Amino acid sequence: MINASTRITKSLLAIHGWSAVFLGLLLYAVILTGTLAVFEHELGVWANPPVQASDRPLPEGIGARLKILADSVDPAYLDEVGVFPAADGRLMAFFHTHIDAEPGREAFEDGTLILLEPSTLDEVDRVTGPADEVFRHFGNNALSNFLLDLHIRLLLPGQWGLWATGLLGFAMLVAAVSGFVIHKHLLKDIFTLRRRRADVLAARDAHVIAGSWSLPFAFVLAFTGAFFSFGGAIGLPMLAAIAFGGDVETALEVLQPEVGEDASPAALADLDGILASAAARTGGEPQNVFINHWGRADALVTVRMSAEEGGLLPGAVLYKGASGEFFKTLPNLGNEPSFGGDLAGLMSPLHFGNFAGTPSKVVWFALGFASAYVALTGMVLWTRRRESEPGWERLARATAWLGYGLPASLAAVAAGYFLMIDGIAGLGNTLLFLFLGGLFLTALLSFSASSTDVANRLLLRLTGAIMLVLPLLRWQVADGPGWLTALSSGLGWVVVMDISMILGALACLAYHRRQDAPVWVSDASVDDDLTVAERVADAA
Amino acid sequence: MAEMMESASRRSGWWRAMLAGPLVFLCSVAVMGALAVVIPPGPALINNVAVPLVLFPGAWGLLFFYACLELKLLRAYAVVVGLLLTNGGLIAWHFIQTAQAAT
Amino acid sequence: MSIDVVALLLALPSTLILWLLADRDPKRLRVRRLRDRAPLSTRQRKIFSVLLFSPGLPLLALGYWSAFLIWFGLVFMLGWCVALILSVLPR
Repeated sequence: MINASTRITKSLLAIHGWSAVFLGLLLYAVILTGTLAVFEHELGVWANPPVQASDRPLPEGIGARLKILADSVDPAYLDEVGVFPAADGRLMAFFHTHIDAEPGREAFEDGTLILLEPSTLDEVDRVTGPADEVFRHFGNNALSNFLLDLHIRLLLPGQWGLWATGLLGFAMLVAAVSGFVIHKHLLKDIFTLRRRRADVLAARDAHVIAGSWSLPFAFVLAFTGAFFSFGGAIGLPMLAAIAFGGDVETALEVLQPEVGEDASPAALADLDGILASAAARTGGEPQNVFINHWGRADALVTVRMSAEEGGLLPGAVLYKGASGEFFKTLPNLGNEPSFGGDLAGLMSPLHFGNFAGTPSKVVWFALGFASAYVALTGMVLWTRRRESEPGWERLARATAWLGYGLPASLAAVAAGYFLMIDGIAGLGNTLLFLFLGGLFLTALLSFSASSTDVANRLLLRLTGAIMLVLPLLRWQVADGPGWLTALSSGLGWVVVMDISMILGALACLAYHRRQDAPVWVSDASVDDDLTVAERVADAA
Repeated sequence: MAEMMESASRRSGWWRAMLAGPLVFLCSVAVMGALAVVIPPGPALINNVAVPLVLFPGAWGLLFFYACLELKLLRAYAVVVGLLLTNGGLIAWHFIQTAQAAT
Repeated sequence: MSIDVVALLLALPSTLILWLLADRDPKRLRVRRLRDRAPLSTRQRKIFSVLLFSPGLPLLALGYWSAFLIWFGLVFMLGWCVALILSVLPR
């Protein structure tokens, strides 16, 4: 696209290819799980739905219900109360307090998490402990959580996972930029997909065309992904130290809206009335609510709203908890509208694609799918060009293994979830072991097959077969609702997901590569069609 | 002769990788930190945190491509190390200032 | 009707233009040796490219960012689909 010199093109091609060789397979895993995680909530509802869906994120009567629940928890946990819908559509109410950091121990939240049926507001179960334990205690969201863990942390512990995915996000950014520069005829070639040419040329077109069409969004997804991982791992702690002279907790305290400390007891005003007022004031829908200092005169209620029609950044409305009077409206980030707040706030809708419900999620899923396809075809292309050289055969095999073995293993995790889950009981590390077992088995299959094509076909059929039985397992083994029950309970996503699984399964089972004989075209026009990068690559 | 050239190019490749990898990463972290010192906090007190955070992947990318593509390796080292020292110095100066203000 | 549904509808004219651009794309016709139809001239391609992105402008002008992003992403994905479909269609 850009008229770069041959030397620069050569360097960039090397960067593009080698970053892929070292990080491509892991990047593919992160992109694929991220693509599925776009439908995190829909997958959650499908995997373990509540009895009846609620028509809004915070159902009517939640305020009165919370007051009763507040009497049943340790008063220390009334320090902060958060209420929000979980991935599966049930409601979570987290009564908690903040425990400060000590030498050798980071700050954490400690409290009681109560799970509620969204339609009746009946208590399903409760658990008390540190936040990172209680949120993993129940099994209802285990499938979505597993997917997110794989996407955000590659299943690595602590900060290591964020470092790894941050590096992968950066590698994707580098690949997108270098790919853009080395592909000199991006616009000229954008509709040219050769399928009946020699294998390598067809693979090149598949990679380049998908890459060209997903380029702007691959850049955005990579940039925002690197922002989230490194922002969380090093950016925020470091900047909190520089800007606020302390850790992230200190920064959050400094940024708390000023209401004036007053620990004298005071009953909380009508919460349902506050939610209704917030909806009327903004014209939006309350998404979740946080109450600071419940039962004190300085109680503060923060109602986070959906973004306004056509907007990307949701805001919040603050109310004084004791009197129930309106306090102020808040932008997406920070106490006052600011350029920095809006800029950082944009990262989240741009990465998650959840800014406009199903339409935006469908588009973001497609963009993620295209990016995963680009990562995989890129690896296939780079290894196929060197297949005859020693050592590369193995990487080609590994590419084929993860390319097809990862979807198969993920499908196996879902199947395992339905076989093991019992109501909302926790699953511990079962899904992790299932996933690793799946990867191990598919590796055996892939590396022992007579050729990568045979292995790929086998793994694709395996993925299809598992996906095909998933709706049946969900319905019969995991005691999920049938289609009629689901539809009458407002759980339409259960049916949509079942059908998507069946269609995906059929696509995997029916797919076959056309076995065209490679046709080498040796007329002179071929060379004109090649870009500098291709000629450099072919010469290499 | 060919062997010598090959080993020289392998050695310069190693130096290039050191520069474009860890050194550029450190440098971009320092740039992010220094931006937090320089950018005014604004009315919401978060501009100096939010803007550097968002700019970080961009700064890293720019420095990475520069370190890979600059023909003169020595000049590339000078630029990256120079940036690292200037920005690192700015952060250190900021911490010394706040420590003095506190006492 | 939600503005986000409008964005989906606005992708329809863009798809038609994408199809036209792809069907008469000079390089595609040359590579697939399709000589029965004339390729678009550079000028025509420029005009169609501008038309392709024009449905998104009102969304931008009215500040409907979410709708604009949906439409914009959709155009790119549909472009990929058009290229894929045309590559498997018989001549």
